[in-house]
Amino acid sequence: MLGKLFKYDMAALTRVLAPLHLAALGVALLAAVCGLAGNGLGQAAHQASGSAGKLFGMFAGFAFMAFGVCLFLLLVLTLATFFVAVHRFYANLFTDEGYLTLTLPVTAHQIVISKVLAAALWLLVDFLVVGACVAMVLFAMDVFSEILSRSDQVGLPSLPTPSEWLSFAHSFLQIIAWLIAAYAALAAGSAAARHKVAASIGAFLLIAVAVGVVMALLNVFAFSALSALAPAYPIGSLDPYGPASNMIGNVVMVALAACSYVACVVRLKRHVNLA
Amino acid sequence: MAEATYPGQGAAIAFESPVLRCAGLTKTFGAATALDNVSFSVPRGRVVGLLGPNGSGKTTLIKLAAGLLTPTAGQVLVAGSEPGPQTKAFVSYLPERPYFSPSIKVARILDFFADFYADFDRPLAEDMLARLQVPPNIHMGALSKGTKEKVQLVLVMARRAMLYLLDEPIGGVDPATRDYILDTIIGAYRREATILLSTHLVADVERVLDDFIFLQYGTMVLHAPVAYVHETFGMSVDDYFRGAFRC
Repeated sequence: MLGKLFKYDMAALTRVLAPLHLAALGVALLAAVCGLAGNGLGQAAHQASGSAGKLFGMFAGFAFMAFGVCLFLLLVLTLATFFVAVHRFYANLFTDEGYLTLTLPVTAHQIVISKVLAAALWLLVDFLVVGACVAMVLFAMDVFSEILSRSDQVGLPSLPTPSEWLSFAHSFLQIIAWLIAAYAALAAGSAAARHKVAASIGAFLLIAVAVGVVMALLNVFAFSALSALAPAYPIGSLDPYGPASNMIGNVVMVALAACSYVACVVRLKRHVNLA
Repeated sequence: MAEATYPGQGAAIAFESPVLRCAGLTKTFGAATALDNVSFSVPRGRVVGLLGPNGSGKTTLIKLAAGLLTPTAGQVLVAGSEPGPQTKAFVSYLPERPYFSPSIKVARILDFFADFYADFDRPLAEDMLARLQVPPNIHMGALSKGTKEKVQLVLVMARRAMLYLLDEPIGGVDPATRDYILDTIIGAYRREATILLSTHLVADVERVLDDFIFLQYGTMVLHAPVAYVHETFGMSVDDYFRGAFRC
């Protein structure tokens, strides 16, 4: 049953996110073209004189403005995956669609896991698409060609290092943990008699504040403990405090994800009351 | 096997374990009591009307049996088990409102039901939809309200379920559609299954009912065969309802 739920959750997200991500690639391509055009027109404006120079300069300005707008649209599009996934969770469970989902012969665990897996897969796709979009934009800014020219001296571009992979894994863990926290906030907010969406936003903010306080306290404790245990390191130095802080962050994110998951399952099992 | 009688039933009837049983069932929402100490059993093979005025607790009772709500006190058992994933596999539930996304196509919904419900009779559903002249590639959002309700009913009744929970299936539609819905319910009904159908339109459903349960202010007033009212009071269930719940 989990596989079937995942199939339909993926289909629902793909219907919205596939066109958005294709649009993001198109916007990035447009940004690259605008950037290249701006560069070319700018150089032409320098070399031309009189009214021709001013005309080239004006078009160069338009091109760079379009480049900036494209970058802004790219940023908006990349945030869409998170919010579409959260909206899917809400609509499928806490609106009229919930009458269908919550009467399927599946467990609450399967429902939540399916939605988390579908969202996680699309977040990975999003990462790849954003990477491709950034590469296109860097190409337009001539940064890419500079990197390529320097690579002749320092060797071919290499695969990410283990620390870069760890950094990616850390970021991905954070996104997933906050996604499940958003699910839990929606589940909690749906218990409100009125203004359920506002209640959900309030619940999410409370979760964020609680996580922030816990992280700060744990980091202060770790900092103090490490200072006492390793006095040789200057107080202002981040090392070995950096790895300790990263570990604390990962542990807190895992705890956040686990607690949010449990909250979602409990709510779905016992307390959903669709209007 | 246990024996039980209904009021007005001459002899005790031996029947299997009830398909739906409520014992001291109570449901409150804050200070409001939707159901208060309701107890009854529904055997297999009956078409039971859950009747009562608006706000009497009919929808709450059906949602409890469907597993959408949990009781505040008491118990509801479906085929001897508490509502959960196992019971949802053989309970077919029709809510009082459309529950499909407007962007989904009818063919996709057929795939969905076939995927999740082993008892879904797809050829029967396709045949009924064809007779309704609903094309499979149309989006649900493009259908009228009455047609959406018919499509939902077709999907629910095309399952070979043990228990059908139909919440206000004829509310909010025109009289011709009401007749179609009731004919579809009876046409697709198998004698070994049980239907619990809630409505306040008693006159329209009386002809299809075997038994009825009257709810008022969250309490059960009467649970009896339709024949009991005819023989005891010499009136229809609708007339009895109007007399009992006169404002």
